[in-house]
Amino acid sequence: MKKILYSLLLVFGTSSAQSAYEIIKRAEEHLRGASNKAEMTIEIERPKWTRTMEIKAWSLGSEYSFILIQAPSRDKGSVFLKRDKEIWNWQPKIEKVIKLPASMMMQSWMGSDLTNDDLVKESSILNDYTHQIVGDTIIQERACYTIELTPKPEAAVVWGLIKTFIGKNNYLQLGSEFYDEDGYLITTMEASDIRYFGTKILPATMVMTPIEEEGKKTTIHYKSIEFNIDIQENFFSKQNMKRLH
Amino acid sequence: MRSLIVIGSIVMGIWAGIFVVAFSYGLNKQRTQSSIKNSISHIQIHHPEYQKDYDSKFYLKEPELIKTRLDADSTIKAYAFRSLLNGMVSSPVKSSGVRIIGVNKNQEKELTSIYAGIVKGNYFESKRRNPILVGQALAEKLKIKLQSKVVLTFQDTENNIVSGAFRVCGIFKTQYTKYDQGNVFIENKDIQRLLKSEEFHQVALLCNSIEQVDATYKKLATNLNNYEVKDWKSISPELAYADKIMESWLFLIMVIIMLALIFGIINTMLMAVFERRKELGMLMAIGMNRSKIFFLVLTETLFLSIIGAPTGLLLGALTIKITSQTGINLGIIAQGLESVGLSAIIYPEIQPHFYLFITIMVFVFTLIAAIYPSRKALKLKPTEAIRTI
Amino acid sequence: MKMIFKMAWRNIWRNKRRSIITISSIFCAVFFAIFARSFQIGVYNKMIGSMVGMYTGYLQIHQNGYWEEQSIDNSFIPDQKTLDLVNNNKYVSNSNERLESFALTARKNLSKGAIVMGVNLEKEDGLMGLTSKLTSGKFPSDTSSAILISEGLASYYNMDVGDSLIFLGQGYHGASANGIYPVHGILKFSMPILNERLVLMPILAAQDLYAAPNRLTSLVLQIDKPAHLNKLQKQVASKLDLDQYELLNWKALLPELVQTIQADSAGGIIILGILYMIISFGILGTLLMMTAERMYEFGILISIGMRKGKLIFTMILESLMMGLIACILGIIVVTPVRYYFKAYPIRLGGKAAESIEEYGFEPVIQASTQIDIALNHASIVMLIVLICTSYPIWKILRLQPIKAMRA
Repeated sequence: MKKILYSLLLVFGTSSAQSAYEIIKRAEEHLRGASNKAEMTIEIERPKWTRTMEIKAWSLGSEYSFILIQAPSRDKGSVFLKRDKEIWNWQPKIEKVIKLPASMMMQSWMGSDLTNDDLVKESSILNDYTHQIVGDTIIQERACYTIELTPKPEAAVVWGLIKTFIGKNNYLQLGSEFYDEDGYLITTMEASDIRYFGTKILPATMVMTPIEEEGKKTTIHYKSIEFNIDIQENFFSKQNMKRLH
Repeated sequence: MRSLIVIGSIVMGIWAGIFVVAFSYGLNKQRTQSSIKNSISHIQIHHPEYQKDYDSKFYLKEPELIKTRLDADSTIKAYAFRSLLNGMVSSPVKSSGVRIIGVNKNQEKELTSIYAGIVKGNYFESKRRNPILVGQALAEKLKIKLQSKVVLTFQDTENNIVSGAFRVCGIFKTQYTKYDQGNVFIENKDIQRLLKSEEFHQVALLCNSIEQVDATYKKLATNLNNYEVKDWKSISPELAYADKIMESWLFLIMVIIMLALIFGIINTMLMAVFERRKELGMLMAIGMNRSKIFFLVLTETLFLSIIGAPTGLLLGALTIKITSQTGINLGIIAQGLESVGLSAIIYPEIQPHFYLFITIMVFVFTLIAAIYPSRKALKLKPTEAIRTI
Repeated sequence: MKMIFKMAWRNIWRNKRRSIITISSIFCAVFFAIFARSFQIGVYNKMIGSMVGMYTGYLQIHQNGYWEEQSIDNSFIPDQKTLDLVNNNKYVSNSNERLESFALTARKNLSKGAIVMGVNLEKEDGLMGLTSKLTSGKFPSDTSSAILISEGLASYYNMDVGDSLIFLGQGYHGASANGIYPVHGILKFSMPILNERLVLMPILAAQDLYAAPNRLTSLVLQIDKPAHLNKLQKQVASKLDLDQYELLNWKALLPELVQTIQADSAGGIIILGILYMIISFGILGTLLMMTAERMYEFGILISIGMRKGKLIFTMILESLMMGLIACILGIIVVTPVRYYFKAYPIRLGGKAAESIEEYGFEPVIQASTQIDIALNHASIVMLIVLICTSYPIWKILRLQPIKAMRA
């Protein structure tokens, strides 16, 4: 689930492909070459509280990214830097750049359903699963392929099965369903608000909902995304952490 | 009949003394044995820095060296190499931080009885890949069961994250919920495969008998001086001193038992003296020496002791002999025992010098007890005694 | 009826010597049984007191559900009603507010997970004895954001009073918790878990760190006399809103301690049992002797027409009366002795004592002065007296007057 969320943070349109594997592969490959800058809100809903964060993010491929928290005020100015498999954190209050130790990697990121590790992990969608188109469906008035992903025996993933719905026309991932090995639906992802960001068409809103637990939900909403901006690897430096805005 | 009572008291006193001592030592020994068997073993070996912070980067270098040394030592009955890592276990529903204990199942079976705590499934007997043993409390928390798939995530020595899918082959339960929630067991060879290297943090070993531990420990400490070698006494000093602490307790209890005994005898003898006042008075009236009367009573008591003592000893020794074979089941009294890893069955045992010690003590105390009644006998007035005829 | 009582009473004092001997044997029984058990219980209470005093306290109030899931989201804001309830209770000597959570500490290139306790330092000093644990530095004030750290942390970071430590973690409702805090003092704890990673912070600063203003994870009630615990718990439980809060005593907070004591108790009970065997024997002995002596007297009474039933009843009364006298005397005499050994417990010495001290316990055998011990064991002895009386009863039943009088 978390891996999918990460890859969805940077999902883009894909070129057409025929086999299930290729469809997904294209989406993955696209990530590696892109650079982008996005502004988004992440809303974390729990039974007793809701938290909304406003975030600016920069990324180069899947190895380098910056996340700057702009709201709420308590967290304003916090910066996360990812370089390959390492995460660094800058807190204005502390005024020191701290590398997140491996023990922190498994902790939740900013109270969300993502762990720190999810931010750095490469999506394993391609390699850990076998893919098969099993049918068609209509989501938000768009025709979609229904693709089933079955985890390979060795794969270090908790799911028994993932169903994902990819638009036939623009290969947008419009939804996913995550099942455990007994066939129980555990989590769903729904994309909506499809519109243009520059020249690309993408869903602006994605909602992750754990089924078994009431009142829990995480919603990502993109306010703007700029693609192919001019940034290099040296932009993603510890010194820059203090300067981001 | 009164004699019987005095003899009976002496027999009881000696028997009680022997039994209490044997029982207490048996209790301690049981505790030590259980702890060694279920938890700490005789000797443990670690990286010198490991026990300060339990950081998994302090793994044992050159485990082969250790293995060779241990194999060469004939006093060592069994040993087990273990990996100890911190990580997360995830199910579709939830994740939880755990201590991951990597074991070699054959080695562990010889060493401890952890597999006795398995309530469902088996101890790494399943044919499926990457088996994992989880605690019942953890299974409930993660909403998993036998055969469920979980993902284990941990770090290697370069702080890279490693993860693997594991299948629940068994569920264990100790009485410590926190332990059940916080620890999982997997096989060393699976850790090796994921980390692409061997990483052991602990070796625990058992000698053939506890008496051999000291010598073996000294040998290992000298030979394996790059590692930290600890014997069970340093790992759990409270066990080592348990005997000493208990001796203070025993002393107190014995004093109390002896005092109770003395008063019992004093009372009985007093009764006896007054019961026989006619007889004694008569003796005094016909001219028997006062001091002779005194010694008469005293000697009577002595004779009673002489009869009572061996009987008491015999009874005591017999009881010990029998119970040391069959054991005494405390389970009736306290259910909590097995939960603390103790066996509910105690095998009393006693060192021979106690027999003598207790017998002498009871003897001496009985004589002291007899002094008071004997003196009272002196105070009898012969004239009164005659009058009651 | 009244006559039987009078008779029984007079019988007792008719033969002073014999009665005194009988009473004194029962007296000894009561005395020694209570004496022994006082030590056994005293040692347990001491152990409980030490363990409880190290960290948990005897009684804690939490948000309902906190103990199952100890996260900062399960914190609560204590309402005035609850505060009044605990602070006005006569058994409570103090109520300590705590906000506890975890955080990653970091300094230079090192990092380590720590337990952070936001507390009122003066109050906690009363419970945990912090002043005696302070090895350097001093307490920060309640309004400052300076902290006290445990020895283990100080040595891990190689830091001293005056240095600062970074904290990173998660706060209330997902807010991030981070800050940098100067160390004002270093504490040495005897429990390794605490000594390795405990941080004490003034509660205001902790509430600020975790974005949890006015919130507590637990309210710890300090009691002067542990014997009052049950009463206190009942009183608080009856008025506390149990939907919102949960009330847990040390047994729920330290289940391993309960099990350890239970396991130990089993052995202690066996030993006590043996003691009882001896004292029962003593009582039986005196009753045996007494019966033998009085066979003549019984013979006469039966032959002049007294019904056996009445005689038996009288006997029972005599036993009960003597037993009662002995028990009361026994309790009166043993009580000051218990108090003495409570104030001046037996000290253990040598290496064994040292190892006990390492764990933070006092190596003493102390007596308990709880009343229930005295009452319980006096009752048991009375029961034994009654049971032993069955011998004379049996003898009376089988009595043949002529044979008895010839004795």
